[in-house]
Amino acid sequence: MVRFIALVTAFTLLLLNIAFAQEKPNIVKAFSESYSYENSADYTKAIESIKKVYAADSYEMNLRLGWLYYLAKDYKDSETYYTKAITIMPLSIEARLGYAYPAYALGNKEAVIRKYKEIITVDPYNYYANYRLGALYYEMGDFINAKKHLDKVINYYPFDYDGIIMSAWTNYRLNKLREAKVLFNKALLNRPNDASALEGLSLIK
Amino acid sequence: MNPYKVFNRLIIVFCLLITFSVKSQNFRVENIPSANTKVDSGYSYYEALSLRLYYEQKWDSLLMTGREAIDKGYDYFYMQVRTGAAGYYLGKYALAARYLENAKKLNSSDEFTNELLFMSYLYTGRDNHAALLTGKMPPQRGEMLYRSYIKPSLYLEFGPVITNGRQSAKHYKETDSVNFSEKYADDKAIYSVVGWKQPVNHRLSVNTAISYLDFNKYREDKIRFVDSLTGNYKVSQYEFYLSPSFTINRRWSLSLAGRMTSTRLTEPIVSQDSVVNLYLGNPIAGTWHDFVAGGEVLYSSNYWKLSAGGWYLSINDKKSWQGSASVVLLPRGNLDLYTITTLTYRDRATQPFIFTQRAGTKVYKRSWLEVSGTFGNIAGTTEYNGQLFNNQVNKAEYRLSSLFFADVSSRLRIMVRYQFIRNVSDIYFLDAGYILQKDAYNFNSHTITGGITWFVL
Repeated sequence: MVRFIALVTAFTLLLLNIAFAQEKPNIVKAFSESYSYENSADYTKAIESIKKVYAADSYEMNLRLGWLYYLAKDYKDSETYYTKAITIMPLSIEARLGYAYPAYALGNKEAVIRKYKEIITVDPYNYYANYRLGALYYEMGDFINAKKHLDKVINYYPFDYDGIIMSAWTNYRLNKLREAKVLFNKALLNRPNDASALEGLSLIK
Repeated sequence: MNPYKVFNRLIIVFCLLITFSVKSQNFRVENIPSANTKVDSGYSYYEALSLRLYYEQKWDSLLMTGREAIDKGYDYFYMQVRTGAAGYYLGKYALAARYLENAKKLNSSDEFTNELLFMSYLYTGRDNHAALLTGKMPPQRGEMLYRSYIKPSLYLEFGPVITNGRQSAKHYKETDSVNFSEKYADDKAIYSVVGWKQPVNHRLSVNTAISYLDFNKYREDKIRFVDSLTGNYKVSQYEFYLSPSFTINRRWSLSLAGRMTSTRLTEPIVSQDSVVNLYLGNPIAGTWHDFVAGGEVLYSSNYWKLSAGGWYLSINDKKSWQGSASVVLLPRGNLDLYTITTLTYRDRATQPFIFTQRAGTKVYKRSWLEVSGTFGNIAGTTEYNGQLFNNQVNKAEYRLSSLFFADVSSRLRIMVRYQFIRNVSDIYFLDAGYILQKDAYNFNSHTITGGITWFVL
């Protein structure tokens, strides 16, 4: 009898193992395939790989599809999947950073700004959110707001080239020439002979 | 056979079967395309098509495609802009404004969007909203558009008022020459107005005007058995108008208005006899002040506008108030065709409601013709937010008018206005038995004015 019970238990465990084995390898395999296809720039197949095992309530799948659709230049669907990912994980910063890509490509800059501001609410000194928001405001001609965010970047990453050069140009646009000159020179310390920094300095002189 | 061994074997076989079954399912799943696989999505199709149509300037097709895409949920900045641009280049400015406003919500700083929206507002008669928009653009560009299109303007209008009042009242034979009836006042007159409209900033503009109405007519009174008196009877009226308009947002605006009038009567009666003149003394004179104060709120949609206002009036020391509501419709989404319907209510009036219908259409290139009809007694009312003040005594049954105006250049607009009013006038007279009688008679007045508007800068 003991042996019978042991056999039934083994049988049940085997069934459970099979059931899990049925899911796990497929999802991992699907993701793995999608990476391979992505590396070979075959985004359509990469999307298909994920879609075969797609579960609407999976954060990772929605996030992945958001990225792949973005690479496939289908920005509307990319935005949709990133939005789903944010809905599933409302505090996700990476999903918001991802969302900004298709939203920007669609021209929806206000939505991009909104998403970066949401990130900053959660993580006030997030490098990407502050830098990109600063750059976006700069592009929109709102140099005061650009400076606000770029100042954070250069305070926390004082030798970051991107932050320094953007901040230098922003100061230049705000006619803060002294600050701009210092920053252009700092940029040259990071990238000697940098064309943008040299151009900025030539304009100040 | 040991039953346990048999059972063991059965389990092993069963497990193998399940394993193969799972593998075969995996195989099938991997090789059958999923039903929800969508690679070439609608987005790509509409994006590519709308972009191509935009570059090819096929505005009709682009408008259709853009609307279809947006209806299907492909609603994003570039699609809204292209659809708006298609509407704009087709002259459907209200439609363009709708899509461009949507685009602006998605990207407020885009220069192209802002400029098309600015022009769409101008071409649908929403100068105040265009001015407001320039305040939200990057400073240099906004300032350039503001200075180029939101200009101060000087307007002048001048012309005669001709009536048949005296002829209509001829059959009332006055037996006593000292009596005077309104028929004299209903004679010819000259109307003139000069005004200045000044934008102050992106939200505020001020409209101010001075007008002058001159009744200068000769009247002869014959006082029987004593003398013959003559006088150059004169009534003149000066008016001052001030209206600041404040644009609250892209939908709402508020205009306050005040108008003051000063009416002066002089009657320098003179006699042929110098001694009589000596005893006549100073000429008869009198001055009356009337005013109207109030304002209106205006809600502007892209295809229609709704305004409602209230005004307090003081005419001949009689106080009253008036409320009006107007609806402006742009059926074709531009100023090529427009209608304005106004309903006015005034208190303390036997006929409290006045209905006005105006309709205007573009007749040729940059010229428009507007016709209108007003039904009800306009005496003692104000119109156009105090720009017209009907402080006359005579009642009106109806008014028909037409207005032609043309933009000769970007700076000069010329206009000609004709107005016909069917009036009712009271007359007091002494009958053959020297008993005072009152009656009413109809007469017509025709006003023909011409004017210019000069956009100064």
